Amino acid sequence: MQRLLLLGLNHSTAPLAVRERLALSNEQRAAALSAFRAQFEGTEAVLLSTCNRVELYVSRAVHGHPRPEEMIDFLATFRAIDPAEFRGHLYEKSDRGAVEHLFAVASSLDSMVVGETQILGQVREAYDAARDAGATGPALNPLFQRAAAVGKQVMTETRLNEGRLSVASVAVDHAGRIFDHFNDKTVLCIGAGKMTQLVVRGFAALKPKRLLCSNRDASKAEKLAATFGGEAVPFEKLDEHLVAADIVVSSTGATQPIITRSRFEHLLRQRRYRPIFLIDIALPRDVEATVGELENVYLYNLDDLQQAVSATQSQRKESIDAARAIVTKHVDGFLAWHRAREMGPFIERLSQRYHQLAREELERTVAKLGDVTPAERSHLEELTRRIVNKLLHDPIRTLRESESPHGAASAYLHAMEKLFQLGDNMGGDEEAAETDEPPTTT
Amino acid sequence: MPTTGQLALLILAAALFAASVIASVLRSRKVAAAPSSAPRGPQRAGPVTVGTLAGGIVASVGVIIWHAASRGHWLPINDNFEALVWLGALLALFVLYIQTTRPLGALDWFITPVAILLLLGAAFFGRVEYHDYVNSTWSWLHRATSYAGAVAFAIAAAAGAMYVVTSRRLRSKTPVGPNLGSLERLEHLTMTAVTLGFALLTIGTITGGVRMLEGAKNTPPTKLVLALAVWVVYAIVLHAPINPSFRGRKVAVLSMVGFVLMIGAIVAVQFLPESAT
Repeated sequence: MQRLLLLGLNHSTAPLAVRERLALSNEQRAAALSAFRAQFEGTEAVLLSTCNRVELYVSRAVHGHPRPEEMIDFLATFRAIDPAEFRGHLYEKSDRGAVEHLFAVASSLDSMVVGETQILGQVREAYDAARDAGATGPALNPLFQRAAAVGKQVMTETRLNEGRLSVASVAVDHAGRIFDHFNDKTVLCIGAGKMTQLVVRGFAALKPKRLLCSNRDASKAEKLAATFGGEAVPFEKLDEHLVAADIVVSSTGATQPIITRSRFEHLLRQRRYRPIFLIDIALPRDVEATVGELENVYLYNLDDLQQAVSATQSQRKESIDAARAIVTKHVDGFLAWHRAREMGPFIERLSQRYHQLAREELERTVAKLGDVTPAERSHLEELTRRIVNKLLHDPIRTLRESESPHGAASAYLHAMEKLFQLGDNMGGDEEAAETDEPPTTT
Repeated sequence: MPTTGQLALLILAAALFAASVIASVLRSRKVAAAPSSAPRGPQRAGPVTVGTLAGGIVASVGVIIWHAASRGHWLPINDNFEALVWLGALLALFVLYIQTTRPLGALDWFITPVAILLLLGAAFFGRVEYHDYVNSTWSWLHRATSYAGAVAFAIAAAAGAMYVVTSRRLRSKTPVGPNLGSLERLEHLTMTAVTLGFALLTIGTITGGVRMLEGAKNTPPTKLVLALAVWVVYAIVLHAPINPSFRGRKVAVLSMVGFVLMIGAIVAVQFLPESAT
């Protein structure tokens, strides 16, 4: 029997400063999955790491490992940070709670910007990476496949992603509250991530005087510059560009801030204290938070922009309610399917085993009786079958009705497995179950 | 004393200005409540706001004409009552011009209340004693430039206040509420108004000095000190392009401080026992 566990933190439980310490790049995620499975053999795991959340989904034997505390230790050790730094920001969920959470995440209901579509792709990407690493199996495969389907259904059947501002549009709006016109302004883009391109596209539409693209990899800067009609400039001369720029969009993969307070303070005089709008959409952040305290510097990071976007959520209550209804329906459907899949083989074997025992005892008794007519034999067979069914009726009914948000069904199954000594018979169907698809609820 | 009819018309003008502010606030709330998937720029004034504001201006000008006609002197700024009404009407006219040509957020929320206070001040405290300064070109020029400078400084102070509010919102990362206009435009408006006001104030100070040399009654020391303080404050503001570390919030705050001192120099001293004008 398997137990599903979720350990994670997100934008609502942890500040950006904590999230950026735990965030994992794609390469780090693959290494983490590998290390996790080496440490906890026989488990399944998916690691979801985005700018808004870091979540570890694990499926393990009911009384197996890891326990939540071990998962915390694993994350802390892997990221080489003190568990105390993030323990207070974590949430733990199991079984139904974990399923509900994942479906809500994939549907963008748990996003800071409810209705954003990027998260669905990120969930799929996390699952694909785990599957390719061999870290998923009969428990997490159907769960994540179902989560992706639910997310897609929510996006197509509700208007959740309509009527909201995008991070890019909010950035442009904020720039419009600082600058009156843009035809004499210089926009500097550092890095070349997906989000950067979205934001830069918004600023390029304002037709700034200059659009500078800078990247450690010059070819990427040239490509971005060509896309938006800007000019690629060397990363080594970043200070010069920062003096010239009025708007800076930064999203590099640097692990340490590239624009520090001490660095920028020197540039303020050269800039003649012109206002500057710094948009830091990198994780970990590219711009030291204290830079925003300087006069005429307006620094916004991803959380700041997303919070402005989330202010539009109240206008979309109907869409959110509709999305929640879809998620709830799918959680119920998935759990019912999952329960049936877990219990079906168990009940089948339990029934077969005790009917077999009854038949054997019947044959023994018939042999002792000697002269038994077919009609009498039929009655005896019926008698034993009824007795077995009545004896098994209550345990099976209890098992079927025992599902709860805390996974009582798994506990009952485990107990019955021991009591009825069915453990050896339980593994046979797992391989077949791996290819099972959960029912599609529409 | 102004006649009861003139006072009634003045109160009506103030009420119309108040109604225009209320209409503007209500319209802003209505627009903010409407769903939008695009950022909102500065809000254009609605027809009720424009109508009531224009009505208030017409009523104010009507009071000035009525008052001048009843006295038989047509030269503007004949007495304190008239001067305060002129100030209020000019400020309202400026708001009307900006909000109907290139709207600047909630400019009317910041300037129109000042115009209302000026009208109410004229109604309840405005003196109507005829002064001999209208017989002297220097005296009249002193009055006209000082009051025109005050209008410019009121605009600079309003733009400065809007700058401070917008800057604080942007820094607190919660730029919700109406778009008051970009910092760049507000700073430009502040500097333009201060430059104009400073030039007028300087002329007003020089002509005031000439007037004193001509043998006019002594100017109260409080007024002299306040006028000097105003001049210094705005001189610092104008210094900003040379010393850019002053630009932005500091300029905005100083423009507000200067306006408070200017109010003191023009209005408050009228009620001091030592006042001679």
